[in-house]
Amino acid sequence: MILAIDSSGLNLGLALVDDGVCWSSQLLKPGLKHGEVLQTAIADFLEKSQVEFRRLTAIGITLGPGSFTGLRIGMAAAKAYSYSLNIPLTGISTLESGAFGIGGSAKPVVVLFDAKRNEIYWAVFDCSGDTPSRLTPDMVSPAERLEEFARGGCIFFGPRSLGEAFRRDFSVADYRDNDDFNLAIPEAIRGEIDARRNMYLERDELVPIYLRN
Amino acid sequence: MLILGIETSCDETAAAILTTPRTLLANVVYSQIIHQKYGGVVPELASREHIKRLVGVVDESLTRAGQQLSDIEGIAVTYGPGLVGALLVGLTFAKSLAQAANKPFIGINHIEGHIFSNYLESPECRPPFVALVVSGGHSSLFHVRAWGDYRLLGKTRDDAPGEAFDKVAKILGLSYPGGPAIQKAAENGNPKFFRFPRATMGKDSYEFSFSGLKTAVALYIKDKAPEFIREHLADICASFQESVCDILARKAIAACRDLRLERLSISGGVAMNKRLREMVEERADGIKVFKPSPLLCTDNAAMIAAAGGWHLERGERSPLNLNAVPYLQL
Repeated sequence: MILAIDSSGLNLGLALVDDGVCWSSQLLKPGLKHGEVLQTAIADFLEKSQVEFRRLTAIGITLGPGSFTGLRIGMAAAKAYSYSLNIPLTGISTLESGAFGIGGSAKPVVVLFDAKRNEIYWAVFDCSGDTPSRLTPDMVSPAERLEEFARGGCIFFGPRSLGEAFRRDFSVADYRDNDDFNLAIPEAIRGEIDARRNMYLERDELVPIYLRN
Repeated sequence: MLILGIETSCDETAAAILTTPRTLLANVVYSQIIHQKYGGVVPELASREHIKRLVGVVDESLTRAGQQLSDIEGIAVTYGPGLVGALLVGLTFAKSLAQAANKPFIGINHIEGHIFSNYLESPECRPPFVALVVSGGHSSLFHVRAWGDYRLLGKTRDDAPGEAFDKVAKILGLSYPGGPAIQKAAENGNPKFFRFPRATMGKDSYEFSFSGLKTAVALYIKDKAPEFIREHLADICASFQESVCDILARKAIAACRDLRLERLSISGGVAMNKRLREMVEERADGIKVFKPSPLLCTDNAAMIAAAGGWHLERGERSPLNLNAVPYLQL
């Protein structure tokens, strides 16, 4: 049983996956209060799911990009759980996790999050198969860099707050909101597969994917 | 009670293991060197270093103490004051560790931690006493009526003394951190070379102010030739240091006299300053002065574990939704 945590943005996503099946998941909207609510939210979630800490076999974490402080809160908790329970840590990029939100699409998918300061975190994926495969690395740039993908007819999967601008400025025809997508679920599913293959992350010095200084 | 203490409020990633009340089994401090080239602590970089180093530092403390996490009976962590992003790394880690390992947990005020550094080394440092906490971020004078019961007598209205040392070091082209750099440069200097102002903030006030002093140093060297500054660097440093220490020592001793208290505790990074330690002793006249050893002056987790142990043994606990408080008061 893997517990995955996503605190990379305004959401707090939690998921429990066992043998490839999502046992339980929860999407909370604490805004910027992750530091305050994380442990109690996890305690409530585990209790509701009737799972005790000692049943966990791995911890999954979204690595970023996203809010620096949010990422560190999730990662500090994940490291502490992993250290305390002596179980491995797994993780994937938030953008890769987001790509699981668009299944079976013939068109490439641009996953994006608001990076503030007039920039976007983004990456492009081929989502035609069972799991997304990456077409670009994770990037941070002004929105203009995404114009070519808009012209190429990609599906955009991003925050509601940016949808209007992308439709207007780059004539994106298919922009889907990702605000309510729980990034912890794909992380847990992928993480469990990784854990089974002994593909763990080196926990102690692990740092988030910041993408900028 | 076997306590794990964690401290990440500024640029030290620290963990310590202690058996209450004061048997220190391990005291691990990773001082982040990355800030040196910026001449001051860069908050985002401090947070990045904490998340990278913390597990290793905690693990090292347990190894050095010859203990397992399962042996730990309580976890204490700094929750303020300090840099919010830095505090959150240690606090989140400690809360999650306490939660998953099912251990009692308590958040500790960093300033109280500094006062406990003398508790740790000197059982005879018993309340009531006066505590002067002086560092890069703090300059406060307390009446410690009992452990856990503190009355603020006065604090700085602007810069902390450590900050003044850093800023003056920068003005004089010395390295960061400024405290040790100025102390070293001042070694053979004449402290009476130039009398920099002492901001007393009123005759009976326990308040401090150091920003004017920094400006006075800047103004003093402004119209001096580079050769003069080079030649008299030791004198200027010694004169500046004399001014800072004079104010600190004067107010701390005055507080003891006014409150008729016979014990004075000085702690925090600036308490490492040799001239301050010397001057307080010179003026003590019957007052017993307690000064931590250098490793317990700068930020460390041993003092947090000591304070945490004291509170935990009294049955106090913090909730798991305890948040970081960057401007926490004591």
